[in-house]
Amino acid sequence: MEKALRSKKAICFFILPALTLFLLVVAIPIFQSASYSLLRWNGISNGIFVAADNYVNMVKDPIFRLSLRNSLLLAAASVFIQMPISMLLAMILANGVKGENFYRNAFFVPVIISSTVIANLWMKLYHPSYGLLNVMFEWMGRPEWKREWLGSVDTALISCFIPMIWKDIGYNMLLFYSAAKAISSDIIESAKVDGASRTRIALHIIMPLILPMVEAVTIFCIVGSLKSFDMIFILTGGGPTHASSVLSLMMYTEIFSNNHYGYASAIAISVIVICLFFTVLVQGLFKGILRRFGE
Amino acid sequence: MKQTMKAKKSHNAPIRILTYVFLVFWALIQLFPLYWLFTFSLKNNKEIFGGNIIGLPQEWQWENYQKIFTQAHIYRYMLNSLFVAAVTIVLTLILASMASYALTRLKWKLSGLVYLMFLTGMMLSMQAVLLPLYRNLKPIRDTLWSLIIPYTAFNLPMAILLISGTLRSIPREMEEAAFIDGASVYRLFFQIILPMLRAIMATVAILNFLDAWNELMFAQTFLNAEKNFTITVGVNNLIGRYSTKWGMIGAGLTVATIPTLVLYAFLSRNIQESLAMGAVKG
Amino acid sequence: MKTQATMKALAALTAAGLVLGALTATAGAEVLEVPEGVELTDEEITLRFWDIWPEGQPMAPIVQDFIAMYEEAHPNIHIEETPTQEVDYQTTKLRVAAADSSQGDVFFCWGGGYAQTYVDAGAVLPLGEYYEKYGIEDQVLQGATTYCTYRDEVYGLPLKQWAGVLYCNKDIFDEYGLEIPATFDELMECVKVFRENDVTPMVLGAKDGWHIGMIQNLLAVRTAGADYVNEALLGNATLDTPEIVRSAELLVEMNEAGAFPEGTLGIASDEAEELFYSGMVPMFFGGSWAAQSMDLPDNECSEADIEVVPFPEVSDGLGDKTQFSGGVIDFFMINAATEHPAEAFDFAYGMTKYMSKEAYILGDSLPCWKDIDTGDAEISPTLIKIQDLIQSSTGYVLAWDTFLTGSAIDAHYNLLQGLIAGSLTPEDFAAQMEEAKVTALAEAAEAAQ
Repeated sequence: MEKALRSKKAICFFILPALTLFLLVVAIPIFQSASYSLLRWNGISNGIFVAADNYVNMVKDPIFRLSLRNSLLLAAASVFIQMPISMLLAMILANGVKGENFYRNAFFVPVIISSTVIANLWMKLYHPSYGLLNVMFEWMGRPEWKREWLGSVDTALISCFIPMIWKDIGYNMLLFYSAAKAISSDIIESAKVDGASRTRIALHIIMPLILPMVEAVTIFCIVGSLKSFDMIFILTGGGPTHASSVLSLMMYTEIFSNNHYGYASAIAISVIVICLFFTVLVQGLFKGILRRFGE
Repeated sequence: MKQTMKAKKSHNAPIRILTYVFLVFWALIQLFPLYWLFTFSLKNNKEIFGGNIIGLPQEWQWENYQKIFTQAHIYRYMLNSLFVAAVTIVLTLILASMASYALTRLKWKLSGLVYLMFLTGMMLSMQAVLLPLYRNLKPIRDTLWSLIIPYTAFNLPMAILLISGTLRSIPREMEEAAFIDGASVYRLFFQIILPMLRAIMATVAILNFLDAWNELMFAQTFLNAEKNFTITVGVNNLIGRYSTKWGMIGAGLTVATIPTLVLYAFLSRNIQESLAMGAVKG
Repeated sequence: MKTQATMKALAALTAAGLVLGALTATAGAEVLEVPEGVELTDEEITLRFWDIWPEGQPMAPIVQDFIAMYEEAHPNIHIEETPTQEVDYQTTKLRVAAADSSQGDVFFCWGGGYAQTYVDAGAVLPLGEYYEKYGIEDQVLQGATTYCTYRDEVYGLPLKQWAGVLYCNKDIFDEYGLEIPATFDELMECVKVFRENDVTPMVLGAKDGWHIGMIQNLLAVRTAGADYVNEALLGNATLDTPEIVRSAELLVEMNEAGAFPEGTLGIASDEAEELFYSGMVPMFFGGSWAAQSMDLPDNECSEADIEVVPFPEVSDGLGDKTQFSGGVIDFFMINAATEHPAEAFDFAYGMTKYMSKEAYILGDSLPCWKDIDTGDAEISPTLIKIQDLIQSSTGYVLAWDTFLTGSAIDAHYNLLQGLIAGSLTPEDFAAQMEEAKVTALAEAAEAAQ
């Protein structure tokens, strides 16, 4: 068996199709971006080699710093707010409730509906004069809570984050749910027969089985947050005055509006580096956790 | 496990009721966008911008749908989108499951590095590679393959992450037994591994479908002939710069959303069944 | 700038065209005639035509009709149309395609700072030779090609022109016993009265920077005069002057007096404009392209008495109310890499003239070709009002975001939002605008080398 698993032929057969496609379509553009990031280039004319200038300017650019901070905040909100809610919903459903299928499908609806629709819906909810939120505060007799949600520098960012976090709760929930459901009852039953306690089962049997999925979802959340674009683009376009700018949005503006293709490529590369850093960190963290539970 | 939980819950009636109240409440919130989209699609601009957010339309603009179906080549767009999404899903599932098997079960030096490389692909911003990709895809520009190829490639990382995660948590006893019976790696993969991956593959298919079906930027940039347009391009084309009939866009979006709902319902039942099967087999 | 003379000429000539219109019976056919000395191929060829009017847009039938006419007149030439949503076309599609000259043989393009990048990169065909063959100089209004001319070489066929005007819903003014304002002080008085009565005085969707720009750019025309602003935008003078500061101050003054909708920074332009179309807001400073929406029977304001006036004058301003924002910025251009330049030009020429006329009838835009023959077609009444208004115009300034190039555009939007948000002083606005303009011009000059 060992020999079969080391067979070069088998390895090539299984990995090469995906790897070839990936290298051609995804990896090459990454290298292209990396080389563009060393140029001062408008995307059309001939670029001028400027070495690391773009990276130096990036670190000094207050808009980059603001966008980076906003992106990291979103990633944190995604991991520490969105994921726990998703997990809670998944656990409730996986433990068996009446109408489990209905709830699971209903909870997934915001994921299915395109960002355009969700963003437009929230724009209505946030509308300063007739938006549901302000109307509700008025009705509650709390007019002082009314805000220009998307139009004010103070609230634009959080007002973008709420719908973004909300929309993808169902996404994580579905992943947690299928992971939880995949655990066969045999395993738990046999553990019980062996006399394991409920907490022991939860900690030493269920958790290790679900953890790989938690790890995957954590990585999705971080990477997804750092790349998120559509919703903010529609809700505020990064405004007012960059208040709700995030890295991907800033990059988009630099490419398609400011003609700074080289600079934008530097941002794209730094997004990859930041994501990689967190991915490796998360993987290390989960390896540690798994080892503890595995004992 | 199901039974034990239920047994436990019957002792806690208030908690159970609270749970259901919460579930119903949450379901209403989650379903609201569907209701909103549908009523939105039947309103005129005055109502849409006039503060009638959650109410029913005062004048039902059914002609919004009529216009969608008579005006645009919507059927053609729909078929194109379906074709792109279907081929993307099939390709992604085949390639990703094979790659995941190689990455988690087969033993080779570079597997860790290759795995990380695939993950890196997930971190690449689509906006940043629009230009290089446009150039690199020159031979297949303006065909549906110019979407299928990048959609598949960009979906691989997510699919590989999920499928290999699942593979890692599947015990190897069955494979070992099969080996002892003399099965080859290939037979093992197709006859034992793939069936066990049904649930996660259905999940991946859903997420893939959403990505492929809703993607706009590549579709708009890589396609030129109207006969190749996808549904997102078709709906987006209804948006005027200075004046737009939003109700009609809503109708377009509703029409574009229905296939996703149908497909989700179908695949999600599939997940349910395969999960049940998988659980029995263990 | 030449635009002054242009508009005068336009007003005179279109008026003449209206009279002559009834007498000419050859409508449409003349745009398909090939001038003497021009030979088109007999081979079967396909021209790729890129535009921004997908099915469902009001202009789409015009495009379809002309393509059909042209293919009938030239059975060996096939037109393959690629229509793209306007904003995406501008930001991504054309930009990416132009990078390797793979845009259509004939493609729609904005002039000014936008096309400059493509021209500098050699993606656009110079048209001087064809201009001579077809005698275009004599057919278009003087100055119509100003913003598609780069380094003395012309690159586009002018499609239409626009002018910014103040649309006033007279019914609402009457309701509160107010007169249409002629001076800025009167405007502020109206704002005050409307606000006291809980009526939002003026349309503004400040989420879209260009929408604020419409108002501030015009205020700058009033305070600094059209000639100066044009020179400053070209880079021959500074934007950091007391007059430009004043234009920002007046914008801030309007904002603080409550001229604009509540939470305007969170409201998009089309949503804000809808407030005018549905008869809820009395004033809307917009482009002539809005004329077609004013006339749409779906919109409530089509019933109302809409008056069209120049934006009010500013006391001590260097520009008076005969100066407008607007100009010719929409062009058809030819791909430098086309295999059929002669045929591409012939098609573009016919399409331009045909569309010029039809868009005028539709109420989309004012024509910039001289011999526009609209036959007995009924022209948008609101557009005619605008045309009357600009008859005596003495100066035009393009919207800054079409005049400027590259990074200055996004900077402009953000600085304008800063003024509305109150986070930027008018002095800083002028200074930072100048800085952004200089930077962008330097970047463009470097890329052109």
